[in-house]
Amino acid sequence: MASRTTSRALVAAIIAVPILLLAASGILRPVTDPATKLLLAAAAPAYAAGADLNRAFSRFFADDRDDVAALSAAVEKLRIENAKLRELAVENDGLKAALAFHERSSDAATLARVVSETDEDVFHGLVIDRGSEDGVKPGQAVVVGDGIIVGKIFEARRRTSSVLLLSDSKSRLAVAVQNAADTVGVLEGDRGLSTAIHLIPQTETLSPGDIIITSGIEPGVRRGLVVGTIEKVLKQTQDPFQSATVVPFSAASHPPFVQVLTEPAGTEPAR
Amino acid sequence: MRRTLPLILLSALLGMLQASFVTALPHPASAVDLPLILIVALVTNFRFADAFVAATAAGLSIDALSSLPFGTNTVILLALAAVTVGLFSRVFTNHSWPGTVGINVAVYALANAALAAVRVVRATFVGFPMFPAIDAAAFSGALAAIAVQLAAALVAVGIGALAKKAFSRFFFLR
Repeated sequence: MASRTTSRALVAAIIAVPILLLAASGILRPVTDPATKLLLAAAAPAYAAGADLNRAFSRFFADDRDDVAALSAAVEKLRIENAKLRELAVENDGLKAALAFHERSSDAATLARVVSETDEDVFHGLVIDRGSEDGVKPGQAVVVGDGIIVGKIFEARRRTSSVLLLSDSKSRLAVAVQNAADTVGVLEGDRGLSTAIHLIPQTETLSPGDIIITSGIEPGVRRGLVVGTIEKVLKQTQDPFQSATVVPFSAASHPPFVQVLTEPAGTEPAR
Repeated sequence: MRRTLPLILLSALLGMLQASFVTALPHPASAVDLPLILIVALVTNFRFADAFVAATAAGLSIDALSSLPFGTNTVILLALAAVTVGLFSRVFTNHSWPGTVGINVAVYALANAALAAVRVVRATFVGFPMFPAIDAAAFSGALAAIAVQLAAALVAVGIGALAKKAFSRFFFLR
């Protein structure tokens, strides 16, 4: 009896290996494609339910009451709107000067549902249900809500993609501070816990509350996507540089939907 | 076959829930490993072959939704199924509460060690930053994760017992 159970287990284990190899090689695509489609369709609401539970749990243990949270959300919305208006004003001046109104076009975005997230020491990211078949490529910006950037595409598979969040230690994003000097810097993540801008010259004036946007100097990420606000400026007189910690907007945590900017505004579609 | 197909569907469902629902939960609830509970339950019920079937179905399901290279989770779950069979045949050979706790803790610890090893390899080859230094918080987090996994396993045992009593006429639970 025991040997029969063991031999059946051995057969099952031996059969499992070629199944895995065939699935990985894509030979089983007629079977795996519909199954993956079904899985992705079921995974998105499951992730959303988990994220809702997470948010409810956080609210339950948070010191803030609902009205404070609502006010914070309203302030956040106004700040984003303000940042966009200021950026539009600057952009408008530039466009007028260059007489190139026609070049401004809207972003081509692909809406994606978040199906999983990874909060590992070495990868803080999301998995979304859009892949290379939908025009998703590594390096493209991933935004939530009204243009809040949360990360960039790290790896695109056929039907799914991994998003590296801005808070991951490997994440680097060219950003600008919306202040008088239009300071530019590189936003770096720190083990999924926080984000900061380093190597800002001491001569630049930064203050808590300044809004951070993307600077647009890296390919695939246009200027003007909102990142967050400066929480704290770390400045020491003997150092040549200062740094600032950046708080992302709350809409960026556990988003059920994201948009991948497959063609940032002003770029020509790939031929 | 009539028992294998529902098992494959259940395992795939658990894999999907593990990759999407559980990962979004707050810590330490997100440390629960549902497919592992099923595999241990099958092995301790002498359904060794079913454990491998469940490991394959759940692993493929997780791999479809994971950021790790395709096949990683399936290979780990298959290896863990084999280890669980070995542990049940050689170490925790009798059905008892200490045995249940022991096999669950051992397999869960091995699963996390395997995933940690994959991450280290990935960090080396893909250029991810290395692990942060291990501190006291990491140990307390690991203990909390083991406790949550154990609690989930015991709840599953309870639900299984109740379900078997209530629905024993159904073929799937016989």
